[in-house]
Amino acid sequence: MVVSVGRVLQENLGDIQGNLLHAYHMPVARYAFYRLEDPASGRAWLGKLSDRVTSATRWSEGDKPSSTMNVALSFRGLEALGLPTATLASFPEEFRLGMAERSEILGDVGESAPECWEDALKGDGLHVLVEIHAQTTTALESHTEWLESVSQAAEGVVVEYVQDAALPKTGTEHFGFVDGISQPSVEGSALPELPGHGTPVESGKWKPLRPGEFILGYVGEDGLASETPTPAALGLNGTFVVFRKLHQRVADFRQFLRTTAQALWDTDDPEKVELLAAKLVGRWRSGCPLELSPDQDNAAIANNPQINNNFRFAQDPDGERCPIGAHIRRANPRGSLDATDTLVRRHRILRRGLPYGEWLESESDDGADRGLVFIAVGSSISRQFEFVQEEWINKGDLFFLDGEKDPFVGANDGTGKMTLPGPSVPFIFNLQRFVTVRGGEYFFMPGLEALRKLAQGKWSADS
Amino acid sequence: MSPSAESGSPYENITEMTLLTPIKDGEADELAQVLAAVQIAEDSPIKKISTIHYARWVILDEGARLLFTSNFDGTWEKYLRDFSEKIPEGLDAIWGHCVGWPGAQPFAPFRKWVDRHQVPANLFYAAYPESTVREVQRALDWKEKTERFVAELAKPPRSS
Ligand code: HEM
Repeated sequence: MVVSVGRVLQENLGDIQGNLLHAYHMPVARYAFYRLEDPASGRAWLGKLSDRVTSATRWSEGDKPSSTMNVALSFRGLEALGLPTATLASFPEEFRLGMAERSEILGDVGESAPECWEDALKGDGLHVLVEIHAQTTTALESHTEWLESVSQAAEGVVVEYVQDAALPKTGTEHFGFVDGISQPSVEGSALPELPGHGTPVESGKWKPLRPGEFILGYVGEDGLASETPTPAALGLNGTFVVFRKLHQRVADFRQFLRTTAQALWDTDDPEKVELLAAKLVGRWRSGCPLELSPDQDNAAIANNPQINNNFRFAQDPDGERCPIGAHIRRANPRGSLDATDTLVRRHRILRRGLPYGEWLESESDDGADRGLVFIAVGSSISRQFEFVQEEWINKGDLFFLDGEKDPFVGANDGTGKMTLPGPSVPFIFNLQRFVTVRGGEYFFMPGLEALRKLAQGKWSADS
Repeated sequence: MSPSAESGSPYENITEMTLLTPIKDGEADELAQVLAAVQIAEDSPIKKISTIHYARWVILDEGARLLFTSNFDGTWEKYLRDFSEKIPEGLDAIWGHCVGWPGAQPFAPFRKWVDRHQVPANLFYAAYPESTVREVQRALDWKEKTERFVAELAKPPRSS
C-alpha cells in the first residue's frame, strides 16, 4: 500500500513542535539559553518543561494561546544530557561542530567573526534554547516567571543568555521592509496553499515541498527519507533550528540609500531612494515584489497573499525588473536557474525570526543594538541554511555574478559591487556590510515524544 | 566518515578527482557503448553539473578497470552531492558496470564508495585556478560582445 506522506505528517502534528511548519504570528518573543551542569538534574528540568511545550496542532478559531514555549538542544546540550558517543556521532557534522566553527563557510569574518561575538554567545554554554512567544508582553512575562521558578528550583541549570525580540512599531524589520512573506509551503502541513510558496512547476502552478525537507523522518524532495540520527526515534518529528543574532546598521543603511541614489540618478528624492531600496531587496518596503510591479509600489499587490508571492523570475533573465543579485532572488532563485542548475527545492528554508531592539527615530546612529533574531528551520543545516548563506548570499558564481555578494545582508567589506540594470552606470560600487553577526548556534528541536524520552534518560549513557 | 579522500588540491576554488574502479567481468564492451552514447548525446547529463571544467572516462587494462578524472569548482563534498542529486541515473548507467556500486542515491553509501576508490593526486596544476566555469563562460560572452561593439564602432558612419 502506498501511504501518502502528506497525510502521515498531518497525523503527527501533535508530536512536532510548534512554529516550525506554521508561524505563530505573535508579536513578542524571548529566547533564553541555559547551560546544564549535571546530566540528571538537567534531564529532570527538561522533563518539567516538556509538559508545557507547544505542538504544531492547529488552533481552532478563538483558542490561540496567549503564549507558547518550545525547546531545542545544541550539540553541547546533547552531550550535557549524557547521550552516548555513538548517538552523538550520528548527528550531522556541522551540527556537531556548532556555528562558530563554521565561520569560514558562513562569511563570519572581520567584525562578524566569532572572536568578536558577544561573550555569552561565543562560549560553549548554549546548551538549551527555550523560546517563548506571546501575544502581549504581560503574557510573555508571566510565562517567563513560570520558567524562571522551574529553572531556579533545578540544580545546575544556569541561564547563560536571554534575547528578547519584538516587532517594531512599524510592523517591519529595522531597515523598514515587511518581512516573512515568502515561506516554503509543506505538503501535509494543513496550511492553505498560496501561489509562489512551493516549487514552480509547469502551467504556472506551484507544488508544495515534501515534508522531509523540514521534518526528520519523512520523504524529502529527493524521494528519500531525510537522514535522522540514531536511534531513529530520537530524530523522528524533530528538525534543526539555526539561531543567529544579526545586528543591523540602520543609520548607515539609510545614509547609503541617499548617497547611492544621488550617484545613480543625480537625485536623492524619495522616489529614487525607494526604488533603490526595492532593487536591493527585490520587493518594495510594503512587500510588493518588483517582478510584479517594477516601477512603483502597489499596495493592492502587497496586501494580497494570492498575488504577492506569485512570480518566478523566468521572464526576467537579465534582472531588469528584479536584479539578479537582489536579496530575495538570491535567497530563493525560484524558476530563474534553469533546469541544468542547482535544484532550488533542496535549498529552501523556513524563516521564523523576529526583530529585536527599538526602531531608530533619529537620522544618526544612536548607539543602540537593533537587528534581527534570524531563525532558519530545515532538516539539513548544511544543505539548506549553510548552502544558501555560502553559495547564494555570499557568492555570485551560480548567478554569473562572480565576486558579488548580497547587497542587503551579505558579507561585503566596503568593496562590494552590485549589477543593477537600469541607470546609465548599471553598477553600485563600494558596498559595505549592513548586517553583522553578534553570535549564534545550531540547535536540534526534537519531537515531543523524543523530548520526553530524552528527559527520562532513555537514551543516556549514565542512566 | 573520514575526510581523508577529500582532494588535496592546492587551490582554494578548484578541486581535482581521480577514481579508479574495477569493471564487472565481461561488461567492459557494454560500458564502452554507454560512454560513447553519452559523448554524442545532445542533452548530456554532464551538462547539468555546471561546475565541471573537464571530465574523462578511460577504460583501462583490457576492460578490467575504469578511470575517471575531473576538475571542478567548489568542494569535494558539494560536487558529489550535485552528482548524486542531479544525475543519479547517469551515474548508475556508467558505474553500474563496476564492482560494488551502491547506486548514486542515497548519498551516504555513494560517498563512501567514491571515498574508497579515489586515488590522491601527486601533482595537480591549474592554469587559472581563480576562475570558475561560469566566470570563463561570462568572460567569453563579454569578449564576443566587446568584439561586436568594436566592429560596430569601426564601421563608417551610415549616410542618412
Ligand atoms: C538582518 C538580516 C535580514 C533581513 C533584514 C532580511 C529581510 C528580508 C526581507 C525584507 C525579505 C522579503 C520579504 C519576504 O519575502 O519574506 C526577505 C526574504 C528572504 N530572506 Fe532575508 N533578511 C535577512 C537575512 C537573511 C539571511 C541571512 C538569509 C539566508 C541565509 C535570508 C533568507 C531569506 C529568504 C529565503 C527569503 C525569502 C525569499 C523568497 O522566497 O522569495 N535572509 N528577507
